[in-house]
Amino acid sequence: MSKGPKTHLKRMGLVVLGVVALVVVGKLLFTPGGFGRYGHYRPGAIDDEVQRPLVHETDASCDSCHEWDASFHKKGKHKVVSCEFCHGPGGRHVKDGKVVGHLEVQKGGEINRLCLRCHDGHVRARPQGGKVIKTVLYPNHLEKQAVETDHLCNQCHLVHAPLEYINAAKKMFPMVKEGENVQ
Amino acid sequence: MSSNSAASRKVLTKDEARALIDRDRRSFIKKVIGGVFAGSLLMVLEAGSGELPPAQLPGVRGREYGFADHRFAFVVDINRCIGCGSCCVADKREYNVPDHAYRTWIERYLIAEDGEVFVDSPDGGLHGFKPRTDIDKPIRDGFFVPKLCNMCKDAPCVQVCPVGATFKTPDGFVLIDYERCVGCAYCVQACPYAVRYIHPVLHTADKCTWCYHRVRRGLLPACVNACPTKARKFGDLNDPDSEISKILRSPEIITVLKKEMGTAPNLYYLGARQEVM
Ligand code: HEC
Ligand code: HEC
Ligand code: HEC
Ligand code: HEC
Repeated sequence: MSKGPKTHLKRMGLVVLGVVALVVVGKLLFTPGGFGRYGHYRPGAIDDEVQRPLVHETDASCDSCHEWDASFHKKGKHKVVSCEFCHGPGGRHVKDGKVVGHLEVQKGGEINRLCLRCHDGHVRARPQGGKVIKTVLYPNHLEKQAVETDHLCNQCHLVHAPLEYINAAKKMFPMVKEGENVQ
Repeated sequence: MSSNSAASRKVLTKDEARALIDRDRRSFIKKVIGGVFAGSLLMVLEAGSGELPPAQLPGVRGREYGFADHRFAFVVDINRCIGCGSCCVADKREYNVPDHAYRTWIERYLIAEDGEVFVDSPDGGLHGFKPRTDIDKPIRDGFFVPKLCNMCKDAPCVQVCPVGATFKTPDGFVLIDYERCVGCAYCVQACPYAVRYIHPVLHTADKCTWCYHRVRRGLLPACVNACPTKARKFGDLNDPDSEISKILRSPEIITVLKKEMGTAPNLYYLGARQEVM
């Protein structure tokens, strides 16, 4: 082939074509199926996220086996506190109807720490006025009840319905704490 | 599990398990703890009891999911947050979030009489809040501000992603494609709300997704379920009866964070003081 005046252009053209072909093949290879169906992304990514396993269930999913505890929980002031917050997620406990692991049950000092996390009146910045949360000062609260300050909160408060015993006691001894309106 | 515990395998139907728990709760549980039912891990209950808990969001289950049928929104009521950190605990467990990374967190604001603002967030509020003893000024106002993904309608993180790994779904969620993400962290830089981080195990970006996997199963996000005071609310704006719709149509003062950024968040705040950033 004689070196005509346009050979260099042909060579350039070939190189450009080659690069274009590479880009096209590369894009075909590396772009996942369906890319761009909804937007600039792989639609399968939505399904991946949907498939993520559930870890927490809901309070309702404990009812069927723990009817006794749930019955108190439902009627007391703590119905707003999630079972799984205090005990750990249902997914670690029951899978496909099988009990697969134990959940945590707080004991001793852990119980006081758990309660004070929400009820410690020393923490400023909590909503005031007792409409959202009633707080106590520890250990003043125990001193006020005239007991040793090493008492655990669950010695007087049923953890699942915190006013259960207290209301029962008030019914039996109405003169105790006259004028206090505790529902 | 050893083979002799397999020998003590107890097969219980759900009704039998319930009857046992009911009849003699304490001794049953003591037996379990004491290892009488050595294979209590193997207490096989009848299949079929592993269904989903009852639906919490109407109109999601039992039909083909219509991307255009829903417009989900999140409302945080600052006047109801007690800073217990239940939401942070739920979130960490739901996603197995590594330590020192946060998909959601709580900030404590204390505002002194002279206007000085003190903000802190020990471990993101994961362990609740201890009293602050380092401020010796009189405090005028105090409140907690839970933070999470704002699910912006005009999300900067989606715009900057070079590989299309962060995207907006047709039903309004900003999600991450963990297969495509190359961990370049442009999005981490771009987010005005600092909700993104690089996951130390996956080496991809990660952030709060408003529990998309729960929502698509008709369940509320884990943090919303865990919140004892309803400071976190979630729902569908296309459902006129949802609490969310009612709040956003009410005369309450509703704000979004960093409005001037023009990101148009789907996360709204009630009771946000002007000091909130
Ligand atoms: C399928 C029935 C079933 C369901 C549903 C179930 N549990 Fe249990 N749970 C059991 C049985 C049986 C035991 C006792 C054996 C054990 O500890 O594994 C138990 C034990 C427990 C314990 C430990 C008690 C102790 O004294 O050690 C806690 C706490 C608990 N469950 C909480 C929950 C919560 C919270 C839920 C809802 C998320 C739940 N359970 C759902 C059957 C169930
Ligand atoms: C405020 C936190 C809290 C919540 C909410 C809560 N629990 Fe408990 N629960 C405890 C503590 C603390 C104990 C152990 C101390 C005690 O029983 O006094 C306990 C004990 C238990 C036990 C052990 C057996 C027993 O009765 O002694 C079971 C089972 C249980 N809870 C199930 C549940 C279920 C089911 C729910 C939801 C319906 C629930 N709990 C909600 C804190 C909580
Ligand atoms: C996750 C936060 C949380 C935890 C943990 C918690 N509580 Fe509560 N508790 C609440 C909320 C919220 C209410 C208010 C419910 C209402 O007013 O409707 C409440 C209500 C109460 C009340 C009733 C107050 C009244 O008079 O209305 C008592 C008593 C109480 N809790 C004691 C306890 C004890 C004891 C513990 C530890 C076992 C505990 N709480 C753990 C959140 C919590
Ligand atoms: C010796 C029994 C006893 C112990 C222990 C105890 N409480 Fe109480 N608590 C009471 C009684 C009684 C009331 C009702 C007070 C009243 O009606 O004036 C009460 C009320 C409360 C209230 C509601 C306060 C309000 O303003 O209405 C909270 C919150 C509370 N307790 C939390 C706790 C916590 C947290 C602990 C553990 C640190 C605890 N309690 C330990 C007896 C006890």
